[in-house]
Amino acid sequence: MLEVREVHAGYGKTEVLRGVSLSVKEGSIVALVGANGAGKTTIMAAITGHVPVSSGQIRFQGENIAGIPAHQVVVRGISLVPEGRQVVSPLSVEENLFLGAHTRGKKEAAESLDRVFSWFPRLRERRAQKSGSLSGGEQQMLAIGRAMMAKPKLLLLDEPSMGLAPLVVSEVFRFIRKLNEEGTTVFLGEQNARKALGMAEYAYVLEDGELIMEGPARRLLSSEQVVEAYLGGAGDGI
Amino acid sequence: MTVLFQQLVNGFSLGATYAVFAIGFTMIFGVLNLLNMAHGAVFMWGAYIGLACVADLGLPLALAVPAAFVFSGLLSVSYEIVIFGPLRKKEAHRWIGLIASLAMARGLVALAQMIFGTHVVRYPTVGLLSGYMEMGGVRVHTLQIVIFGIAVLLMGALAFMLQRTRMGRAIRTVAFSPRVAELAGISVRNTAFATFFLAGALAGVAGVLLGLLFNAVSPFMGETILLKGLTVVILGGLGSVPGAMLGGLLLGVIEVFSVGYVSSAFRDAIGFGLVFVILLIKPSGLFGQTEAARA
Repeated sequence: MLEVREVHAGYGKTEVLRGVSLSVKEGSIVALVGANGAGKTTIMAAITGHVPVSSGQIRFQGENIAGIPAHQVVVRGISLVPEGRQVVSPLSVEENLFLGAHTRGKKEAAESLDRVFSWFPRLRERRAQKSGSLSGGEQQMLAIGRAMMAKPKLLLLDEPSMGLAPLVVSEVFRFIRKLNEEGTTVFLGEQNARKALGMAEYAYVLEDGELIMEGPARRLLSSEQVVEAYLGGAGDGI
Repeated sequence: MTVLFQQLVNGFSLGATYAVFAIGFTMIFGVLNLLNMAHGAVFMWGAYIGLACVADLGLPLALAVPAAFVFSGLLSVSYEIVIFGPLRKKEAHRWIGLIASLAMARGLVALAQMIFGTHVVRYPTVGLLSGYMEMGGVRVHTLQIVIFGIAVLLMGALAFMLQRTRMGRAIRTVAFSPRVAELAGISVRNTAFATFFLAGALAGVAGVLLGLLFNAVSPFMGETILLKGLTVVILGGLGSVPGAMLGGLLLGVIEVFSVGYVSSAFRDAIGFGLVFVILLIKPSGLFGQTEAARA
């Protein structure tokens, strides 16, 4: 479904991604793990058109989407839940959700809104509240709900566990799995390697803008190298 | 008491035009993070277009105002096309935009001087508008009512658009974060066009209104209002539309009172001075908020 081929990308003259190739199969959950600063967010930004790709291709459903305007990526069927949630705090909960369906019709948006509210009854209760007043966990649910309002085929999540209490993190991950079971393909960038590898089918390990390892998530979870660098030692994010 | 009410009436009609001008100024700042120094030039051109409609074409004010609205809106959009859009693409520092828009303003003033001359011109007395009514010794001119009415109507329409429509939501989202807006499928470029159009259109109408109120139109009227607009925007809280509305009214009232009770020579000194005092008490402005909560 998504295929990143030999992508070089960065900010200005600084190259962050140095030839990254990975693929995400339809219906799967794929994790991208790595320490802070490894380039996970840059990969997401390259896919959503927010970082220029200097060479290489990003193919989604057979088409190269590298270089299309950022605001057209969502129309292709890719939604991103950005790092730090980025809920639009001056907008109400409901407005934030409708924002996610900006490119869709009114009726479709209303249907999706019902669906999101059925997943997160707490958001329904708080629909008229300014979204800045929600708790961190609720904001994460809102950010995921907003991304789902576009009815994406591929959902990208950038550090969904960041800044959340462990119990809330588990709740968020359970929900991501549920979305996947209902048919959404998931590509997850996460510092919390144990959580991410525990859920994903396949995973890539990113270090300094290059993929240093890949394989079925379960195998990586038991690989000595990964355990040492990302699960046991000081390198572990959370 | 009568004098006080008279001053309030005068202050409100003046302040309403300041507010209409400043709203666009603050929107461009709040949504696109730009200080558009050519905002006064669309105001001045709006006043001339309105004047040309009334004086040369003999059109009623009800047509002159929409004409100024559309013309100034388009003129303002040209700023985005010529200056701010290309600079955004190059990720240039916003001070470059500030200087470039100053150049644009000077060019438009020079062009107006060439076409309309440097002398002050006046709106022909428009039949109905020259009337007034008296209530308890307070004289309210029809013109003041019309100006205030148009200003309130425009502000109400803008507030509705921003709060209740899809486009308004897009504008507020771009103000919060262009990146989040793009993720949702909003074109930042189109939103910038919409913002510049609305801002310029309001400024153009403000030009007509102030031209009517002072009965004077000149190529340099944009420069004075630019400073006042900047003051109003800072007073109201950078990027805040309700702040610009209230700040405009407040500055209008302060000015009229200082002319009435002190001296016209001190009008701007007192106006700007009082704004300074208010900002000492509330440094972020009347409706000042954190960066994230703007617009």
